[in-house]
Amino acid sequence: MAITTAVCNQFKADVLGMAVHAAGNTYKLVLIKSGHGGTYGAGTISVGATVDGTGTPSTTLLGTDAISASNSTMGTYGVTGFTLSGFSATLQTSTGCLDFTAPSAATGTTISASGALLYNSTQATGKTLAAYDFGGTVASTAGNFTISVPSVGASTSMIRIA
Amino acid sequence: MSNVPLIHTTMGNVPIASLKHEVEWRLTDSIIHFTERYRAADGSIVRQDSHVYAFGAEALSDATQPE
Repeated sequence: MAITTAVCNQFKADVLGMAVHAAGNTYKLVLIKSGHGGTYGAGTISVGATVDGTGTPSTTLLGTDAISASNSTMGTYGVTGFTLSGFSATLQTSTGCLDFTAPSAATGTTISASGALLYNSTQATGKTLAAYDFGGTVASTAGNFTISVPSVGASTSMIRIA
Repeated sequence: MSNVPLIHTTMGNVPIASLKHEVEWRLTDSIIHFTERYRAADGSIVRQDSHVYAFGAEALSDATQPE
């Protein structure tokens, strides 16, 4: 199954609905395991009410495609993903940009991931904002797994609406 | 106390000098991936750190709007 880097279509509707997401919510970046069963991209709606590594993956549930203790050595990585801080919504010329600061590295991990989903963990169903394809497998062995995020900019920000 | 630098691996803490160190960069359309890898004498990977720089995602409008 494929992962495509994209802003989720549901997020566009949620933004225009002006009710789902807020700056004070908790946003997370959850890894998608390599060999995942689901398809992730613009059509992804949510990760599910609970991210615990169980359930059949779908557009509304990450389920068993999550990195969990059943398929990885978690170290300091939690099954619900990296917590993001530094919420920043800005306008860069004519492009709306949403950014966060990079999370701390997960240490002591043996993880094999193919992508990630940015989602709102405060929202009841964990609605997704964007999907990120790693273009292959990113693996750690008894080591660190680090996610770095791009700088704020019209052509670089984590989520851009032009 | 020993002053030999150690590193935590799948074999526990071992002298870093006893391992072969490799680095690898991979650039795709969506990420930059840096891998730092340590191999034991038999060639097995005993530690691997992965660092991902993820490019952002963009939602483009179908038409250019007037300013």
